[in-house]
Amino acid sequence: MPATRVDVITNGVLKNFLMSRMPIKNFAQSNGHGRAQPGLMPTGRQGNLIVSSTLTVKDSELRQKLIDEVKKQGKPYGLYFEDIQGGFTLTQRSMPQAFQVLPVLVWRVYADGRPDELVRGIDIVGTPLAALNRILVTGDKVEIFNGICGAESGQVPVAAAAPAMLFSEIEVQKRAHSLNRPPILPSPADKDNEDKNGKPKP
Amino acid sequence: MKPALLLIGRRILLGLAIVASFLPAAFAQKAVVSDDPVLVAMRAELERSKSRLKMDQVAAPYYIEYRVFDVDQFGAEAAFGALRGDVRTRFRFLRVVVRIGDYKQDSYFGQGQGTLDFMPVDNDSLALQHQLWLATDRAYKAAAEALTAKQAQLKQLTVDQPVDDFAPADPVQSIGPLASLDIDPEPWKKMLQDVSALYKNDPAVENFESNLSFQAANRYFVNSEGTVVRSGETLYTISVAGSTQAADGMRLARDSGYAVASAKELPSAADFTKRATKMLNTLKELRDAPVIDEEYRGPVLFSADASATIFADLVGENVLGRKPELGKNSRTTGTFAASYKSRVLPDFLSVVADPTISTYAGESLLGHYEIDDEGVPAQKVSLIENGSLVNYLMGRAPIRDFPKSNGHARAQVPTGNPMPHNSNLIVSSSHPTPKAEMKKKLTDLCQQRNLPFCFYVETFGGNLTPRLLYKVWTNNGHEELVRGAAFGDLDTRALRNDLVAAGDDFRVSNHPQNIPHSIVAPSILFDELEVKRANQNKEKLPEYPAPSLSN
Repeated sequence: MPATRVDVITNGVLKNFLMSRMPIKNFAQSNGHGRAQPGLMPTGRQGNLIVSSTLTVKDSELRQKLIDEVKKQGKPYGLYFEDIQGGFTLTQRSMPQAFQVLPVLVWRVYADGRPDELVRGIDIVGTPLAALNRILVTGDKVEIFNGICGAESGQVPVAAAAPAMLFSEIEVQKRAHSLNRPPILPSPADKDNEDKNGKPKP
Repeated sequence: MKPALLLIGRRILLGLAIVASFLPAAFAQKAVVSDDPVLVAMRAELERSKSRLKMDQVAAPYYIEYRVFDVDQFGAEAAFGALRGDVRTRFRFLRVVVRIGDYKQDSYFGQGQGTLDFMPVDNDSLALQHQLWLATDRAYKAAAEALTAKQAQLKQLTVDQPVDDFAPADPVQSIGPLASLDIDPEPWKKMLQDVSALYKNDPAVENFESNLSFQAANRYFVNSEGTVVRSGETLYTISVAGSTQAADGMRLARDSGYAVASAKELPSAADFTKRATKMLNTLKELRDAPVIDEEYRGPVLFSADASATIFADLVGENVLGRKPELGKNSRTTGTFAASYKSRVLPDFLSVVADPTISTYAGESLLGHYEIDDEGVPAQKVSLIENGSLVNYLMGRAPIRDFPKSNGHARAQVPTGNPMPHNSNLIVSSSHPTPKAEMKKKLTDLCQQRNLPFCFYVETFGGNLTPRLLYKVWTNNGHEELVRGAAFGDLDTRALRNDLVAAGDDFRVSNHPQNIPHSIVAPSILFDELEVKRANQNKEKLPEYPAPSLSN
């Protein structure tokens, strides 16, 4: 099917689905989104997902908006997610409709003007409807993410474009991590730990 | 459950880069011992690990080994006259084994059998050493856990005659030349296409394909006992395979090919075409051949080629001195486990395994090597003398009565752990019958037993199922190809009791799969075997014929 532009959500209301030729209730036709990894059966998949906003502030003002919201809620700090490594959503009926996002760079932004503090070991979790209804405002600059998305029909290349977003509330949880010991010997590149015979320094 | 998964692009790309990266083989030239960067890195990290690797409340390793396989491979396949794919790959794999304990009882068990990782393919010694460092650390920690698990399991078991876990071996230093893949793929791709186009000569052929694999593998091995070995080898295979269906639906498949150790032994286009044409013709003959009807019990003659398959399956697999799993009291894992010093073949047959030779009567053998994959020099081993089993093929894992390696531990490229494996298995007879008389012996036996016909097997398919099987008529020696047969009782017992003669001919049968090895065997005659109809499904023929070739 030829690719077509699809308005999926208009002014916050879900209007359409990304469709392959496999019909679902009330949506009988493909809109050119049947995609698959070589060797698999196509299903309705993302192509270029573009998020636009009618309520924006300049990116430079978003940080102040965050601090204002933190103060309003009487909290010591808010969180700024700078980069994520990926995430996933459960899409099957038998499972809770929940998502998890795996951040890599997360900063605590303090209300009292202390410098931002890098933290680690947390994931964003939640259910899409509850989480996405708490967007207060977005930035004005759209950034593009190119990646590989995996689902029933395999790995397909996708893009997503979205502005920065300020959430009034988001749920995070401690990430499970291993308690494995770090390596016993220092790295062979770590010459500071060795004398010139390769023996450990006292 | 299939969650929609979003991954960052660069992580995927990294995975692909590992698989797809290859470099020309130009590096593989006259490197000097001391400055081969792979060996430099291996020795440097081994030194560090030997002197310093120690965790609280865990013993320091008593033995560490590093094994690197560096593989440069070219593969291609064609079907129906067209190329179906070609790929050149270059990679290095690392396996690190750290043993805790001692030679009597150590951590070589479960996850303590080594850790595996990719190695950088360029020759940056520090990058190589870094990878070795991480793998050694993992292997040591895994060994600590494995030793505890093994000791816990041993507490539940009674071991009648304990054998050591690891045999001492003298250190060996040997730096062989590096192998490289120096071959222009284009003419070979054309040859595959041309040969796979031969299907056009037989409209009833269904599948018909041709493929090749050329590989240069360099092995690097160092251990904490002082062994340093580098060796390189090449392996070239090219083959053709086809299948068809008889009118009754029986599926008939054949394949034929070459497996050689040097590029100069590969066939010419004319020779390969000739062999493929012959194979295609036998498919047609098989299709037209009658199905075997009644069950038969009587003499069967096997060509040297078919005989090599029998010895590979029934002797080769059973002379391996592989230690059984923890708590099992048998000597080995094979059916000759309890046959030491017993008769396993008729007394006119003897078998040796000889990795020290690279040719037999001018033909190249794939099971040749100088030093095995545990750093033990290759040895010629007499396995069966006048029918009696006197030895097993051994690595450094002892079995009852066999405390030492005889240089037969071999690892599969690129990730395997060394295990006892065949090298060149050579079967010989003290009373060889001239080849020409073997068929006469067959029909004489039939005559004595008033059988109207007997059987001759030219070659096997898989699982000791005859592929080219001929009915030989007793009165005039006429041979008639038949299909759909299987043997009822072709086993080690039949080999010991019913084998009555061996020819003076031989066939070198090269096996490139898994671990390259060779079998040399003469034609053999059994005075009684059961030949019966194979229990084989018959699929329907295609609903309509193949596309017309005239368009």
